[in-house]
Parts: sequence; structure tokens; C-alpha cells
Amino acid sequence: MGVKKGSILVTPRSFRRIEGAHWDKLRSSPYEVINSPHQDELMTEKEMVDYVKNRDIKGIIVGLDPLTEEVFENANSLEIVAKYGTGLDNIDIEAAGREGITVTYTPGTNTQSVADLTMGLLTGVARWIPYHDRSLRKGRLNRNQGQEIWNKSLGIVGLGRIGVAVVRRARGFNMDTYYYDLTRRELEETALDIDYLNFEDLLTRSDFVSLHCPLTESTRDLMGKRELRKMQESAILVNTARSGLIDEEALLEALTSGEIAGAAVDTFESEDELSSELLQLENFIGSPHAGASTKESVLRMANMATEEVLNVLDGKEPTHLVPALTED
Amino acid sequence: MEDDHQIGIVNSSTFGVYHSDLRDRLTRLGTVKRFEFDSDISGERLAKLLKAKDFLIASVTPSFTEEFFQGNNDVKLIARHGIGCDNVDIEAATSAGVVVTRVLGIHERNGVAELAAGLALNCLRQINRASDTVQNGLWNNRKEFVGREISRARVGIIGYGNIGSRVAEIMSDGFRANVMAHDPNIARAVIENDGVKSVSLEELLSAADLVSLNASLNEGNHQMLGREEFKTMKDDAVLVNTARGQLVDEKALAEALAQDEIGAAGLDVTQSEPINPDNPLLDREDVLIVPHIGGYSDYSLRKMDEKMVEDIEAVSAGRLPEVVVNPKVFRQENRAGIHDEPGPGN
Repeated sequence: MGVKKGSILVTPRSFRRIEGAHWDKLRSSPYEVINSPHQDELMTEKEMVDYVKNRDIKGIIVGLDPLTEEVFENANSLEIVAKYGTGLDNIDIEAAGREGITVTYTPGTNTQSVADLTMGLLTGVARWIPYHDRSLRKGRLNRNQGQEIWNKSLGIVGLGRIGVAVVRRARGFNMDTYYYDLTRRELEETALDIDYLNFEDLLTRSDFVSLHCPLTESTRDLMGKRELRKMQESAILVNTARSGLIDEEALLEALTSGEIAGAAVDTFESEDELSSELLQLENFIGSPHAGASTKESVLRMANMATEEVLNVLDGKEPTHLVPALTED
Repeated sequence: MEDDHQIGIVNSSTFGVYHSDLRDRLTRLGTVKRFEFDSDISGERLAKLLKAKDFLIASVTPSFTEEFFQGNNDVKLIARHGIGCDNVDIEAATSAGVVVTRVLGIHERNGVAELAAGLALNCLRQINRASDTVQNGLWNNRKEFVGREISRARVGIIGYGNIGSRVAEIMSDGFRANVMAHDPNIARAVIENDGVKSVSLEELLSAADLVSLNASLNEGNHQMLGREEFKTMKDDAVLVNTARGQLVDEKALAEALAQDEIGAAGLDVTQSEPINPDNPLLDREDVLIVPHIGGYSDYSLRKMDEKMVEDIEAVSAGRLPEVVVNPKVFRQENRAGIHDEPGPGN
């Protein structure tokens, strides 16, 4: 082995734990790989500053650890940050730009995994699967009548990559699908032969509603008291997108008063959210933001992030630059 | 003007519960009474207790034995509120001139197949454990739930009949999974015509990431999945059983899970039902168990109830009911007084 040309810092836990082609590529590269000093916790800003200042770090493959202005200002040899995932809240992209540091991310790698989980949660609520399992273990033998999903309607809110993947799966079950989005998706409409409905019609007509839109100022509390009332009493709501799309208090009320039949939410993103009364309801499934948690998705993210870092350090163009910052 | 027929609902906890319109339709045909008998009541005693009843809607218990049919001269029709008729002595019913009908399998096709897909997804992503984690506030455990996608999985379907073929459709059309099937009673061409690979049991078990049991129980396949078969399966394979508990050697299953010979199991059926509270599978985190709810859905339950009412309507009006278990009964003396010429191919 010759002299190393610098180091690559790797922080995400699942990236480090899983074996795969990404490790072969990193090990055979001319860079030394430095792992996060922590097993589970995130690195602190102070630790980051120390690392980028003193360890000749050329590239970082980062999960949720803080990459602040302070970090970038001290990063004398850093050329690229590859975000392992799609959420960019922990990276000061503007500061990176000022220092001439490239930032990439891994869009699309979790599409199939999130769509699978969406159908798992949908059938899980419709047939009371976790509920029955939990009951049996407590010695209760009661059976709740479930809902079949073939021939029922599924309204998709947000027809992006994941929305499309959910439509495909739902059609395997012979569900009727339609969508609402802030903008018409003409390409997808033609490709999928799917009808657009306005939001209110989608809510009133759907047996199942599944959310697949980003959280923005205009989508915050998209599902509030008024919207939940518009849904059918037998309807089921699934959210594998972002917390904040549903007004949780309104959902709690809708589920306890029978305005809708059930719900599943995979957007519990921090410990603070676990006090929610929703979690104790029988017709509710809470899931710990596990949409992207599959072996396949982890490997796709790991490979994409690794390739971005090695390409940029090799003088090539990055493939998945983070979206340009919008001006306020 | 209708006669006042005597109708008995025997040991069914669900008939008419979810569909009051069908219960009402039944009461228009006569006087309806619900019975709850011990599952091992003698045929002789059952015959006495059901005296003067014209039509019965019968659950999985008790058994309608030869003694029952000899001891009771009133019952004209037993409508089984289910598909299997193991608890009715069909030969004795026929000799006594009693019509036996049952529910159509096609009405449970989607309900059971969708539950199989649901159990598979819930196992692959450990949704029950993940939601327990959230519910119990064990936040740090959440990192353990690294699951797998179905679109990358090889799915093996054992039993390619009414339900297995539907599971195959859902998996290949919806999830673009790579589907293979094993069924010694169905021609290879029928299976391969659906784009599903027809394989031997051993090939299926050794290659599948997800195995779905959809075979009906017969003399030859009792405990068809046992110690050897679990050893053949992949270490991380998921087994889903929505068919019959007797197809699986449960002790061997618990061992295979404990030894990591397979990854997880999703079970709608168990060897004894209701499940014994001491069953060791109930203590395992890699098992998902639900209490035989495959047919326990809005559409299936409605269709089951509807079939019972239709059969009683038909027989009370002197018409042939649909799907009769012992059609021979109409070509001889029978209590319903309905006669039929044998049709072609019958």
C-alpha cells in the first residue's frame, strides 16, 4: 500500500455495520477511512471541528451529525460531503458553498422500501394485524372484522417517486387509484393512466388515503380537523411521508370519535414524540420512521454516497448535487 | 304465505353480527334461534336438542354424526358457515336425505391472499415489534429494524389453487417479486402460463426468501414442513401460513427459529385453535400470530352470511341451492323434496 492521499470520515451507523460493495470500494481507494468515534450517538459539532481541522479529511459520508458553518470554516482540506439520505437539515449548505465544498445526497434510494412499508401499514390497519398479535399474546382471543382492499379506492396525496411506487403496488391488489398534488403531474398521469382529483373530492371518495408529499409551509397540518371530517367513517389514513402533515390532535379525535376507522403513521422521528396518546389506540399503528430501513435501501444509499465521494476526489463531476438553495 | 320454518344457528358467533340486513332477511323465512353447544356433544343428544328444526346454519363445531342423522328426522338442510365440512358426516347426511351446502372458496380468495401479503410485509419489516417499540417508548431499539424489500425477494408459493394463485398475482403484479410455485396437483402449464415458475418443493424451499403456505390439508401433506424442510430454507427466510396449522410441525418451527435456520414466521393458523396460551411461539419476537382472521373481512363475512340465507331461501322455496356438498341427495328421496336430473359431466 502506498502513501494515503488523505482521509474519508464515515459517520452513519448502518453504513458502517453493513458489509457490501461500498466497503470494497473504500478499502481499495487511496484514502484512509476514519469511522465516527461513537457507536450509536452522533458526533458533536466540537468533535467535527476537531476532526476536519487535524485529520486531513477530504471527504465526509454523513448521517445526521452536525455540519455547521463552524465546521466548514475549519475544514482546510475538505472537498466533498456526501449526505447518506435525503434530509439536509443537519448541513449548512450555504456555508459549504462559500468554502467551495461540494454537497451531494442520495435521492430515490428508499423509494421501494417506503412503498413496501406503506402497503404493510395499510394492510396492517385494515386487517388489525399488530393489534391481533398483541391481543393474542395477552391471552385475548377476540377477532375484529377487517377490510379487504381489492376494489376499494386509494387516494394518493403527492404523486412523486414514492407515490408512483405505491400506486403500482395498490394495483397489484386491484385497488382503484387516484391522486391529488399541488401541481398536475401530466407525465405520470399518462404513464399510469391515473385520474387527478381535487383534494376535497379525494378525501370524500377514498376508502384509503396515503400521504406522499414533502413538508412545506403549505402542507403543514394538511390533514386537520376539517379534512379528517371529510373522510369516510370506514376510511383509513396512512402517513409514511413527514410528521407535521397531520394535525395529531385532530387525528386523535377523529380516531376516538369514529370519524375515520384507522390510521398508521411512520413519522415518529424523535423520542419527544412518543408521548402521543395516539400510540395507545387500538386502531392506530405507530412506526419509528422505518420507511427506509431495509437492507436493499441501505446498500443503495451506501453505494451512491461512496461513489459520489470517490468521484469528486478523483476530479469527476458529482451525480446527485443537493438542490440549489431557493432565495427567500 | 310462507310456512313458519324453524331455523337454527349452531355455534356461529359471527352469522348476522356484522350484517343485520341479512339477519332480517332470514327472520322473514321463519323463526330463528341461536344455539351454543359443547363442541364434543354426542350426535344423539344433538339430534334431540335440534328437534323440529328445518334448516341449520352450522359452524366448525359440533360434529353432525351418523347418530345425529339417525336420531333427527326434521332437519332438511345443513348450511355450513365456512368452506370445510369435516364436522359433517356427508355420507350419513345423504342417506338420511339431508342437503348439505357450504360457502364458496372464491369468496375468501382476496381476503386470505391479502392477509398473506399483509403478514409477509409485516414480518419483513417487523411492524409489530417496531410499533411495540414506539408504544413502549423504547426508542433506541428502533435501529434494530432493518428489514427487506419484497421487490428484491424470491417468493415461493406452496399450493397454487384459489388462494395461492392470488398471492402470486399480488406479489408479481404489485411488487414485481420473482414468484415460483409448487403444487403437485396442478399442471405445470397452468402455473407457468401465469408467468410463475413451477418448481419442486425442495427447489422452492432452498431458493425462496418468502414462503407462503396456501395448500389445502389432505392425508398426504400433514406436517409437510418439518425439521428437514426448515433446514433446507434460507437462514433469513420468512414463512407465512394462512392455510392450515397442521401443515407445519410447530415444534420444529420453534426450533428452526431459535437456531436461526429461518428468519421469521407470520401465522394466521396454528396446530390447535384457538391457540394454546402456553404455545412457545407466543413468546417469540420473530413470530407474528393472528387468530385465524383470513376470512374475517368485510367482503368474506358478508358473502358467507349471504350464502347461508340464499341456501335457506332456495330450499324453503323448493329450488336447488348453489354449491351443494352432496348433490347426489337430489337424485333420491330427500327431506327437502327437491329433485334434479344429473347434468352433463356430473
